[in-house]
Amino acid sequence: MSPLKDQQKQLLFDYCIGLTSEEQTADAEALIASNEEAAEIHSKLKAALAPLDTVVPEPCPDDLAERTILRLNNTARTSQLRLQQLLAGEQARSVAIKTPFWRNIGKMATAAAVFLIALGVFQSSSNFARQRYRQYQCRSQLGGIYRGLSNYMADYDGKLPAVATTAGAPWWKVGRQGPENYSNTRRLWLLVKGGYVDIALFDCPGRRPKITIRLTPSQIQQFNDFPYREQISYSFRICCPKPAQRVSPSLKALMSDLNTLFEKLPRDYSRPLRIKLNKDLSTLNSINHDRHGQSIMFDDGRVDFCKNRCLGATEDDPFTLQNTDTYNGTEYPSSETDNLLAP
Amino acid sequence: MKSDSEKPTDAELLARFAEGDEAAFRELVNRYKNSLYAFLKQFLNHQDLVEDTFQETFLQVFTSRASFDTSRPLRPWLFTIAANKAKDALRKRQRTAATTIGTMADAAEMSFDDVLNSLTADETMPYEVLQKNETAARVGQVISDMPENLREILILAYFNKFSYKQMAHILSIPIGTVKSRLHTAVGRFAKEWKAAAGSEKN
Repeated sequence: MSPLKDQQKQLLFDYCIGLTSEEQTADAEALIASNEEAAEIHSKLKAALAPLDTVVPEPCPDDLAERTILRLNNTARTSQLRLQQLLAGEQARSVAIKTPFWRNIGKMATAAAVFLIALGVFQSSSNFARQRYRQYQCRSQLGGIYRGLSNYMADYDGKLPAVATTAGAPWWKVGRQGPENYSNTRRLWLLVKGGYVDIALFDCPGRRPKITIRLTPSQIQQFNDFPYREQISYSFRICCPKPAQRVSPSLKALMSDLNTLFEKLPRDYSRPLRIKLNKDLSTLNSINHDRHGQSIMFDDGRVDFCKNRCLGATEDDPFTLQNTDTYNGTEYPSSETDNLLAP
Repeated sequence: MKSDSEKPTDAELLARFAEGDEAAFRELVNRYKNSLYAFLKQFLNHQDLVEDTFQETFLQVFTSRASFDTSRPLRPWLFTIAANKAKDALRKRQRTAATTIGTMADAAEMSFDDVLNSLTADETMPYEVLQKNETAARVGQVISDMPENLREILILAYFNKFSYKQMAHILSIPIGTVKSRLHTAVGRFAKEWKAAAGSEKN
């Protein structure tokens, strides 16, 4: 007897939950009757779900239904009354014809002068306001990604999205679609593919120039990673492959605006990556917000906009590894106090 | 008593509802009150939240009446609104609940076989050790202790029999995710129930 196919197991599951059509029900029953493994799975599932059948749905209390109907009636009457008032007001409104002010040359000159002065005064403050707005939006997007991560973890028994990797494999090859898991962004792509996070949330609003690449849901399912680097302008924690590593009790950075070191990655994956740390790469903030700072998401979902790269009591810089000056995209943190967000 | 053929369809009812017909309000509420109330009761498990969300759902149907496509069935739309309202209500109540995800390990996803392996066909079904009337209350507690998204999908699938396609629409997630989430929900329920019944036995 050959083992059951996944499709047949799914049919048995649907049958036990009560989601099968008449035809599928007949197929499931025939399968259970003719196959020992199917009968066993059916028995296990039935036993697991049996307690749910003891739950008797509680009927809606009559007074709640009546209160709801009353509120609906009131809302409908209020909305009807408001509509009538608006119509009546519109009909009664007198139309005043005013002389346009620009006919008066003096007024026009005054208005132009005021406009120019106001423009000068407010230009700098509006730039500042725009920056602050983008920072706010960026934090909000990272918050959305965290919610998606939390939902993913709830679905997968508390585990972060993971792909099989081997120690020493390059984690910088964003967009490579081959079978090997060569990019740290593949873990995040699982969130997009599973519908947990909208792909647009991975593009920081503070990154310029904006390049929008649209993908249909069926295209998304075909890819193994973000197809283009432009679609992800955040860096994610590189996890240490050593299983014995203990997690520090202090909060660590999980994701941030694009790491300064990996702004320019080679398009040709056959070429090796070699980044030598210099003064700029060691100190500059992320390019995403014109180097004013970077949004950083922590383990507990908090997102802060940090004006420098050194975090917490340990003063760890999450854009670099301790004691490492040259990067070829295969490095991992060696201790629990060291944190790397990449690529 | 009216026969089914005399009853207005959902689309007819909603058209009258949209015009402010008070009889249509009553008919619509009565038609869906029990299934919606049962869903909210299981999902929220707090009477004050259940009642508020129940009323807010019907009010939202009225205020969004213009956007509803009458060629589509009303029930999934109603449950979409109810599920969103219920989640908002829970979020308002549980602002302090934040999990630290950095402390979790990386691992592969839970397959259908993993779910099956977590189930056991005990000779004595655990629920038999409890009195029948206690069982329902204990099951309700196990469901309400499950994570929000697992609880939600279990209630929609098992108690309300929505199809995978309808659940995908209600929850705004792909069908594949609906399936894997439902597998996880069943596996989680079985595990928690076994633990709950086991502690009762001891």
